[in-house]
Amino acid sequence: MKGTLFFLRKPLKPVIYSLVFCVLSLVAFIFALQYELDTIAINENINNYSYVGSVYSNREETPSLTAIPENVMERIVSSKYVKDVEVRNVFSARSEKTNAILEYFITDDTIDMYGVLEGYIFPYEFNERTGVENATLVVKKNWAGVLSGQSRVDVTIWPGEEEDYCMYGENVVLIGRFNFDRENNSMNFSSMGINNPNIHSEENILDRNSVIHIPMEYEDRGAIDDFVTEKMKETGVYEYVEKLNECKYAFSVRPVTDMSMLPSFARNRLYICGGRGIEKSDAGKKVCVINQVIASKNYISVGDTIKLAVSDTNYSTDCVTHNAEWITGIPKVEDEFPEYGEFEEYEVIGFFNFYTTRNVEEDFFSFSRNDIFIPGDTSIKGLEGIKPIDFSFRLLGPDYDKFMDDMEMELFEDGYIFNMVDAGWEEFKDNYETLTTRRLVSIVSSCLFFIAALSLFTVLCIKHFRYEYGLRRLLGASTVEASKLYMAGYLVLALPALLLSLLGTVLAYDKWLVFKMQEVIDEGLPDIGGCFALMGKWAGGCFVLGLVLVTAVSWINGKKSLLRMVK
Amino acid sequence: MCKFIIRKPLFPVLFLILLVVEVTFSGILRRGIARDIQTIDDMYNNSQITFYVLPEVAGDLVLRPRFVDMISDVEEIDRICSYMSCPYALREPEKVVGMSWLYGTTDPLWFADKMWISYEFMDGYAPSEDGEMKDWNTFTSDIPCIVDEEFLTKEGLKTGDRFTAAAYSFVGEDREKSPDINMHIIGTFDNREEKLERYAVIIPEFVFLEPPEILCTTALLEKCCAFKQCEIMIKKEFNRQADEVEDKMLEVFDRAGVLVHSDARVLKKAVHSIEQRLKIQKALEKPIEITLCVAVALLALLMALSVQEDIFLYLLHGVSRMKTFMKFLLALGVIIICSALLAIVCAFIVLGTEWIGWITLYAGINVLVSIVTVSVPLLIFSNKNLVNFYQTKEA
Repeated sequence: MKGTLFFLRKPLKPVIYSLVFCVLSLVAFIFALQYELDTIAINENINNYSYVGSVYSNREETPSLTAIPENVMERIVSSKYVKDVEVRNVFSARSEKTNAILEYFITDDTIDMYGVLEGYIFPYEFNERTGVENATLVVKKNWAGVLSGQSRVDVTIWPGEEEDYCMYGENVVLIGRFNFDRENNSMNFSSMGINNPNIHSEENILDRNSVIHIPMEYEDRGAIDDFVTEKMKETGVYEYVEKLNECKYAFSVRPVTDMSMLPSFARNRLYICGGRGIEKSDAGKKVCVINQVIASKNYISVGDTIKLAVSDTNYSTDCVTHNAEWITGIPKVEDEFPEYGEFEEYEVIGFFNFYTTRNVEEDFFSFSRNDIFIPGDTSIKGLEGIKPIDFSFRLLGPDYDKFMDDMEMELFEDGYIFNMVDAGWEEFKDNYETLTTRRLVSIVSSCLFFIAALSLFTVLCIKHFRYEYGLRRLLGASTVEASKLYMAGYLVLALPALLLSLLGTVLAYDKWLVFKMQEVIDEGLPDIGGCFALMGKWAGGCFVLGLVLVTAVSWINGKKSLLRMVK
Repeated sequence: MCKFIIRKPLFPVLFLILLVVEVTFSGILRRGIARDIQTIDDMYNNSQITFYVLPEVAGDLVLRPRFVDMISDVEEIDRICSYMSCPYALREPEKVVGMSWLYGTTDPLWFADKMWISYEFMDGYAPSEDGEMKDWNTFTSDIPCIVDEEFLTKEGLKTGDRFTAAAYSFVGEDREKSPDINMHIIGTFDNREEKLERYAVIIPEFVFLEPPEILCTTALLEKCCAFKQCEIMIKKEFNRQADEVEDKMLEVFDRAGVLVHSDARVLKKAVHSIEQRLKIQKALEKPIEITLCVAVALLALLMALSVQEDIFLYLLHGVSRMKTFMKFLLALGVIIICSALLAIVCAFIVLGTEWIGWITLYAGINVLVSIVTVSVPLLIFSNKNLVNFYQTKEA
């Protein structure tokens, strides 16, 4: 353009104007960048500090077992305040080599677990009234069931007939039950009950053949093993012992989309103690999160792989503990093992553990150490028959009160209440408000600095080009032709300065700022292209605003007295 | 100078506005950062991080004393709260040999919190304001004890009385070998929630482990010489290094076959978002300050460029170069300093007295940079040849 020659004749001031514009734009871009980073931080945190929970009937005896009615589900799922919804299932899976910690081999009426232990028995107390004998068993061999490690177990026996009495120091094999400790959500392996064979039902072979006396003449290990195996086969117990041993490879696989949707996880009862949990970005991947103790006992580290064959079956008990139902991948005594799929490798990405002091009033759901979490489809396929323990939804902090105002009273009148866990929103709330305010300040500051830069540049340009504009008009140029001077000034001076400040911002982000931000922001940070796109939007807005301003100024100038301009 | 400002007000006014905005805004940023740092420090300093030792697999915790001894050597540990328990039988006054339980703990108040019991103490034995129990962990033959209210009723005793018991696990050797435990009732507890057995007695933990230790028979050692609950509190100054402390504990407790759970992750989660906010602000603080300082300097440069016509005229009229330079430097310097003073006053009003030092320093740096920036063009213009000055058409 002809106007550009004018700049070459008097370059100093235009260059300085350009620099001023560049620097003020840079300040504006920095504020814009702060706005974007604060947005990323809010988005990352708002899910982590949200509310997660479920809904259940307050009129049923076993609320966790009672399916949520379709109309209630419909109301919750269709609410505009509900961010995420998850319906979970559990499947039986078999590992190739990884040993489970057998916490239950569920019986027909209790969540107890069978153990088959061989050792020397030392009765120390006999209660004539109840016929119960208390003894200590010094364990020599764990035939099946409980994870080995204990050297002594307290046992309670009903001797029955005289020939079933155990002699002091006798070598015996006992088949008994370890009782489930509800408060600690675990089996109590320190004591075992050997049930009275006379009062248990015909079907319960394990209870009817709970004591095998090993004759003293059997001393050699091999001979003892043969004798015991023979006895077990005679009584029909052996197949159950084999099944119990097979169970040490049985796990409960739980497909989840995002572990933060588990109420126990939100409540910090279940927590990740190594690696990381399953996230949405893991969808479709063969990864898993296992219990820390399983990992420790099997010498598994984060990054290792385990082989699992998953079925489409699970097992449930008729037994109900307080507020919890066992749905598990591990079969009961009378169940058959399911059809498993092919073994596939799963990478272990993290370990979980649970804080075992359980509040039965709070926790619907119990996990076991044999649960393995994998990424899976938890979307709602239908609204029918969904139980509270399998269902959870997420509310973002700012929407919690609105959702409750909308739904709580209505559902309460229908006999349903929410069990929501605050995953930290009350603590994060102040920070959220501060970040929101800061975002507002950043965006306002950015806009102000862009406007200030443009205004200053425009004022300086008018001042600088006024004389030239006046002269051109006096020499016969039209208003439009003369105004091209301002447009040329804008395009030649401001546009490169804007691009320079944009480039400077993006490079500074990519080479320096992103590494600092990666220390505190886990996900959502844009790469160099993303940053360019984000800042480019701001630059585009500024450019358009500048065009509008220059056009307006040109028009205003066209009305002014030419003589005053050239004076 | 005033005439100069009146004639050419644009750049001095812009300079003033930008300097005021810069100093005040930067001060607000700094104050926000300082407050966040203080908030984080307060959160770390006021939190007590506790490590809970849990059974690895299932059932009760069985934590042998040797592991606790090893952990006690870790310097970051503040205190360990724990308890053991064992059965006991009365020796004097001797009643029917029924069994109840002795609980030995290092901290009765912690124990009360865990077991949902409340105490009533004899005069002079109530804990002090900071939770210390008089003589509780002091080795003495007259062992203080806190008994179940029902125990007093059953045995016909009252607070202040003494009685003798012995650890007893129903294995014959206990009766002969277990030493007497001579106890002095200093208080009672209300076992309404029934988390403890009836007639339970609470005594100092050292009785279980220090000579003559009551856990001296095979049966008692096997069954009872283990902590049933153990919580480890770390010193608050190590709260930020909770992960490293946890690793040290895991090294010890891994061999004990137990797990360690800490509430440090709760604190970390609470602090994380504030640290995130702080980090973003700190990262951008310096670029904002530097960039604004450069913008102010550029405006000062423009101010200097705007007076070159006047310099030309002064030199044309024969004023010496040095005098011309000093005159204009003084004029612009006064504008810069007055702007800075006004910026300090504005920032002081917004931020308060505690920031006056920083405000002054920052404004001073801007003044220095601006004066250096204006000096250079003034020096160049003052020393220019008049003919060249005219011919370059800059004037």
